[in-house]
Amino acid sequence: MKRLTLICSGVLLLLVATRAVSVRSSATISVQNADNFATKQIALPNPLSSLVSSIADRIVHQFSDFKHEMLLAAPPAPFSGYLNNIGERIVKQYADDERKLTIAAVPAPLDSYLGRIPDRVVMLYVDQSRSLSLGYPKELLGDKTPPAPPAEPPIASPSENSITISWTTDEFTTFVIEIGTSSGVYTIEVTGSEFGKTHQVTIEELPTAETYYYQIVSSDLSGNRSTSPEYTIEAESLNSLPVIYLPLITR
Amino acid sequence: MKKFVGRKIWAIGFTAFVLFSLFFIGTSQDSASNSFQALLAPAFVSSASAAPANEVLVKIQDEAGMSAYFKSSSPVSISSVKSEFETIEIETNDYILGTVRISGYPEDHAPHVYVHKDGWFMAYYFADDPSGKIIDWKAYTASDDTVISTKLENILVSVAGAAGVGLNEIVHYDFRYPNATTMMFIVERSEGTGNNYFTLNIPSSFGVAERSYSTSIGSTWAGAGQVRLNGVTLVQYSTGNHFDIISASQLAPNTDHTFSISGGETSNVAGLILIYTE
Repeated sequence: MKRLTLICSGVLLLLVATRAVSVRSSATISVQNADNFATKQIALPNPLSSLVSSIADRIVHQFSDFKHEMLLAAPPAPFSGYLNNIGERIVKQYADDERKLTIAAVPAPLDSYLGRIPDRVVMLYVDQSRSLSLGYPKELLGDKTPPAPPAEPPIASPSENSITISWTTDEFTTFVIEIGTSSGVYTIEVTGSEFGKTHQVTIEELPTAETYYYQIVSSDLSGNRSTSPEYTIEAESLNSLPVIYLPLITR
Repeated sequence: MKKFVGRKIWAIGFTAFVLFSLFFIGTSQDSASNSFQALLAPAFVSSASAAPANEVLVKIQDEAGMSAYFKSSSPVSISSVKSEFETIEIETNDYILGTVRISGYPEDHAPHVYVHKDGWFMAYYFADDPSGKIIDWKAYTASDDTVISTKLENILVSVAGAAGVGLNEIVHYDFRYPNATTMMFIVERSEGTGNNYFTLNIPSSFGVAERSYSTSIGSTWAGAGQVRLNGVTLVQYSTGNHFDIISASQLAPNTDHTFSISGGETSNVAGLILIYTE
């Protein structure tokens, strides 16, 4: 659009100029009754022409009564340093009022209370909720029977520095595995505190030995405990092979 | 080669074990040391034959899921509660076990109830039933003062009333999840054709054993509706009782979830049930 306007303006000016030239060329100075008449070519001398062309761009003003020029200087270095120190801020304009509150950290005593709030299910917009504690009916069931030892020998998978032992129980139990490098002498205990029927534990940082001896102490939900027979693990056993299980029999 | 050697060792060991076992079986019982405990029958077999009362309790532990129980402060006459039972599976002089129908619900909502003359009462649903089944929507009204009660505790109140014994604190327990410590019900209502929702966020430190939802149509809650979780429809219904499991991936921890209920023309209600270890 702008280009079109410029083209149109150019065409218009060309037409006006052409008209002016034609007027000028077609017009003649008619001299009558003059005593003398001469024409002379006026030309700008070359040195002056170069001087005129060297006039710098300037604000051209006419008819003004007064003029005063002020030089704008950069802020002096110290002041500039202060300006650079102005921090970022929320820039407001036209606000009618404002209030700024400093939010302080929670005081230490309250913070310690807040730190004691346990993890919880966080709910919003709930119409109603109820939380019930679950309790094992120990007295009702009256279970006095210790858990049976693993019906199948545990599967032991020895690796370089650890042994993984897996076994199942016929009821929910927790366990303690007692393990050592001599029969009947157990120097390491590993506890499983969650009740389950399938169990797996990896025992690491075992002392070097050719044979490990271990037993499993199981506890059921009623608190009855039982101790399994002693099992053995040959350290050279391959992971892919079941560990040989030979019960110890005494007479 | 190593594998072959291993198999050989295993074969030798197994043969030795069999020979040792054959040799010692039939000798003095004293010789049966710890080694033979591993071959003992499961504990409940021996206890079942020794004590019939334990037999039914073992049966309950095997088949039960969510349960509720209490002990009255006075003994119970089994004959006084017998008429409450729709079906009787086992009855002795000491206890009775069967199903008791809940008014207003179809027969598959009848829980199993165990009553012992010593004053023990237990009601339970089978392990296959989602915990969402236990909310008693017939007993729930649109008031924040209404207790979200379970069918199990309400049926215990009913049977205890028939027995003429006083109630003590009713405790719930889920035989499927021995490590679970808490069961939570979260209920949302919508009035008329409106929608309503709540949000929840479950911490990852919680071991959530089961998530389920529950909704029902009844005299109070009569409208067709739709229950959604995070915009996904869990159930769209126009009649009956609805409950089912919600998968762990649908209620991932440390994430805000939106549970919503939208109604047809009347009021609707739905609940989310969580069983977890804190």
